[in-house]
Formats: sequence, structure tokens, C-alpha cells
Amino acid sequence: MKMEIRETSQKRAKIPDEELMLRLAQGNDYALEVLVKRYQLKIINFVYRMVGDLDQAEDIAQEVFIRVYQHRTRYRPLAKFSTWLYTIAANLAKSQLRRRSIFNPISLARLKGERFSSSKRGPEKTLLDKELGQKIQEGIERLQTNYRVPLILRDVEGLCYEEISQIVGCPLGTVKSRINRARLKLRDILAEYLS
Amino acid sequence: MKCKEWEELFSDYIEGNLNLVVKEEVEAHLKGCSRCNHRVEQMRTLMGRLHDLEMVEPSPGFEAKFWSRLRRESLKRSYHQILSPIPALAALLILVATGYLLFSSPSPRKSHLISEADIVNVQPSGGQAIGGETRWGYRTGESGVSLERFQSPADTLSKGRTRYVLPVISNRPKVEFTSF
Repeated sequence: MKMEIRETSQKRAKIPDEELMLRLAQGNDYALEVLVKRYQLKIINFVYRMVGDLDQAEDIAQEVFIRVYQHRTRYRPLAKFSTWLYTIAANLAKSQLRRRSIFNPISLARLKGERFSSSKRGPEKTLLDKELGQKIQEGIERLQTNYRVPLILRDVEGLCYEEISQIVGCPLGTVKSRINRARLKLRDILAEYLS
Repeated sequence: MKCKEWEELFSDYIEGNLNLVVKEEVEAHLKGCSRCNHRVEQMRTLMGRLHDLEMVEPSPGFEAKFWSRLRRESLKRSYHQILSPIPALAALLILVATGYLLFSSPSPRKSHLISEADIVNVQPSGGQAIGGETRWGYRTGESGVSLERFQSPADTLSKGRTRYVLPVISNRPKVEFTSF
């Protein structure tokens, strides 16, 4: 344990995810710290693009890492750790969207847009980029969930088709087809901004 | 092929996943169809925009909040693990007690001997009463049952559903009671 503590952050950064999960399962909580630092940005961004609300995205991202901790002894490195992580995140985000559609059928996109524009945490730098970024986000939120998830994973997160196929639990062909249709749909929504 | 069918190939075309033959067919169609050509360019732009979307930054307290939440959740979970067997244990005890009451209710012939230490003289003034009549009782706790008076060496009295058999041994009674 003391040896683990002495490990430099550089050394820790090189440890593969699966090895960190093994250490976490053996009771080394520092492994979780490394994993959280390594993946928090990706998971928050993925969930943010899914639900369109930064507070909710952070809340869900925390829940993702809590699930990782709770299931640390059940994890088997059959697939990449990141695949497992994105699967948890996608499921939690979808649950959130379902709850929202039941309890709050009014889209939060517009409200979120206002909040987003006044926030220093907003990603877009220029006004044009900011507006387009907001329109893209609104467009993404208009896609059905089963199109939205693979599109974000592919075009925003940059995952490969095989990994997306494992995350969404669909055959490769279905995933490719859904991504293509999601792009076509989104292009139709955003046509005036893409010329 | 109609434009709608060509559209199915746009993603693969842009990402370079088509074989040479199909790729050339798509390009030939795009040369002759300005609408599809425009749409492919729009899709290409869209993919670039999606890729270039800037990342949102987590709030400064994200990690601190996470660790605090994890501690709370772990605590809740461990409490749950400790407390969860209690209802099951209680149910088991109730079941056992019910079974005991149902199947082992005392038989009328079963006697319970009360130890001599429990026998007390309940004569108000203590000791032997006038005419050899002594009042004895026994303790069963705060609400103990006091025996009524008896005279003969083997007197019997009933109290509720309990019959007391009170044989006298020397000056002190040996008390048995029988439930029925």
C-alpha cells in the first residue's frame, strides 16, 4: 500500500485502466482516483451532449464512477474499461432522458441555452461558434436516443464502430446505419447553418 | 439508384470506408447530382463541426463532490448490509416462536417444579398462622402470583388456567404447578 502511495502521478498515468481496476478491486482506492482523473472530462462531455445540461451531466458522471466503485469486484476485463464506462454512462443518461420525458416533457434545450450562454464554462469561443455549438446541441437533442448515442460516441467522442457496437449492444451494421441516419437527420435540422 | 439510396453510402464515402468500385460509382453520381453533392458537403461540414465541438469543463468542486458522495453512498451501503439481516432474523424468530407455541403447548400432565428459593411466606405477619393455617406464595417477578392459603399437605388450587399442587414438606411447601 505504501508503495502505491509513493508512486508518482506520472507512473500512475501509465498504468492501464484494467490494471487500475484490478488494484481497485484489491482495495486500493488510489486506483479510482486515477481513473476519475483520467475519464471525468470524457464522461461529463459525453453525458452533457446526451442530456444537454451540465449540472445533470456532472451528477450522472459522479454516479458512473460510484457504479464503477460499487462493481469493482465484478469487473472482468473482457472488454476495454472505457467501453464498460461508456456503457454505464449511456444507460444512466438514457434513464435520465426517460425520467425527463415523463416528468418534464418541455425540452430543457432553450432554458439550457440561456444558462449556457451566460456561463463561463461554455465551450464556444466566438459568437458564431457559440451559436452554432448551441444549435448543434439542440439538434442532437432532437434525435431519438438510439440515434443520439452512437452519433455522439462516433462524431464527438471519436470512438471506433466496434466499440460503439459493444456499448449500445447492437450489431456493427445497425450501428453504422444509425450513425448515417443520425447524420442525415442532423444535417436536415442544421441545413441553414452548414452552407 | 435514387438519391435516397445513394444517401445510405454518404457516411462510408466521407469516412473512406467504400471499396474503390463503389467509391467511383458514388463520385460519378455526385458529379451529375448537385443536390446530393451539396448534401455530402453539408454532411462533411457537420462531421467536422461535431468533432471540433469544444469540451465543457467540469466545475471546480467536481472531484471533491464525487468523493464526498462516494463516502455517503458507501456508508449507506454498509449500514444497509448490517441492517438488512435484522428483519429476516426477526421474521425467523417470530416463525420459530409461533411454531413453538403451536406445537409445544404444555400438556396438562406436564408439571413444573418451582424451586424452594422462590417460596415465600406471604402471611402478613410472617411465620405460622393461628390454627396451623399458613399462607405461602412464590415469586415470579414483579407481578408474581401469590398463592392462596392452603391447609392440607397436598392442597390444590386453581388460578386462571393454572392449577397449583402444594404438597407440604416439613414446614415449607414444595410447590408444583401444572398448566392445562
